[in-house]
Amino acid sequence: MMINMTAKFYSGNAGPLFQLKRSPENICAYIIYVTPLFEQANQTRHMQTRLALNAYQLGVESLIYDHYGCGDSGGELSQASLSLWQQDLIAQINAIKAKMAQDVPFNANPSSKPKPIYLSCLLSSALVLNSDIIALIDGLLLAQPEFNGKRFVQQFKRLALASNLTKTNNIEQNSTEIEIAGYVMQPSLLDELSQQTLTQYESIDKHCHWLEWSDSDQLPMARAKQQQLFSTKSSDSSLTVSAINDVKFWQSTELTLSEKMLSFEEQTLRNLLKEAGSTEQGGSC
Amino acid sequence: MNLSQISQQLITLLSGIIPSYEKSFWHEQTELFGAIAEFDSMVIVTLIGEIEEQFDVVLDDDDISAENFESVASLSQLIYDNIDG
Repeated sequence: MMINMTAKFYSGNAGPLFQLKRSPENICAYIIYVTPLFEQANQTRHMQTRLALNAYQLGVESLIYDHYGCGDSGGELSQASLSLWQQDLIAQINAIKAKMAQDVPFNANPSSKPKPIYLSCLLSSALVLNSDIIALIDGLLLAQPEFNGKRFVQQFKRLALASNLTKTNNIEQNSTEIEIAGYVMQPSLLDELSQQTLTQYESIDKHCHWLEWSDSDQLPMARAKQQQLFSTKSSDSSLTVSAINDVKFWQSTELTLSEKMLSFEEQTLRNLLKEAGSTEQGGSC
Repeated sequence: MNLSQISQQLITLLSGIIPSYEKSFWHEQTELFGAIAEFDSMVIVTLIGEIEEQFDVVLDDDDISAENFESVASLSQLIYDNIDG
C-alpha cells in the first residue's frame, strides 16, 4: 500500500523542526508522536514509525518530529530549553487545529465537528507535557511514561559515570554548558527537566490510556507510584490502565519490535475513533 | 531474597536487554563489564534503572564501578547488600 508521507521543516519558535507527516486520504483524527529525549529518541523511532503506519491504516494523520536542537531539526541542543520544546508542541497542535478550520469551516457546516487530536507519549517524552498542552488535545496515549524528571535526569547523568568507569570526573562542564555522553546542553535544561513531576497537574480530564510493561501482576513500586499519582489527577472514567508482558524494545541492544504494543495501540486508537465517531452523524469519518 | 534468586532475576533482566546470547550463556559467573561487547554505558544505566525498579533499591552513583559490574555474581552481591542495607 502506498503511504502518503511528507518530510518537511516546520517553522518552530526558534527554528525549523523536522517533521514526518503521514496523511491518509480520509482523515478521522490526528496524532502527534512526541519524541522521547536524548538517546531514547534513537531507541524508539523505529517503533514510532510502525505506530504511525498503523495509525495511517485507521485514517489517522500522524506527525513525528524532532525537538529543536535534536535529530534533524535546526539549532543546537545547547540552545534548547524545555519551555521551547513545549511551545513548539503547542504550536504544532494549533497548526493542526488551524488547518482543520481552514479545510472545513465549522461554522459553514454545523453538523461537522473538529477531528480529535491525540498525543502519543512514550518514556521520557511525557516530560515534555504540561497542562497547557493537555488542554489542547482530546486524548493521551501513554506508554511506560516517565513523569519523574528528577529520576530521568539522574539516570542521564549516570550515563556519564558509566561511560567512563575508571575516571572520577566525567561530566564535562564549563561555565555555560554541560556535556553528558556527547550531548552538550545548558545546565538549565536539566534543571527544567528535573523539576517535571506529576504534581504540576491540577487535573487531567482527557481520555488517557496508560500502557505499562510488566512481567507480573504487581508493578515495580516506582512505576506504581507514578500511576497512582496520575490516577488521582484523572477523573474516574478518563483513565484506562493496561499492562503487557513483552520485550522492552527501547532497552534492547538489538532493534526489536513490541508486537503487543503495536496491537494495543491500534486497538486503543480504534476505540477512541469509535467513541469520537459515535457522536458524529453516521459514526464514521 | 537470597543471592541465587537475585542472580536469576538479574539474568532475566540481562537477557532481555542483551538478547543476542543463548540462555545457557547466562549464569552466576558470566563476566559482564569488559567481557561482553554490548555491555556499554547505555546498558549499564538501563540495567541500573531496571535493578532499582525491580528490586526496589536505590543504588549510589559510587556503586557504578568496574568491580561491581564485573560479573553477574558481583552485581548480585551489590543488589543483595543494598536490599539488606
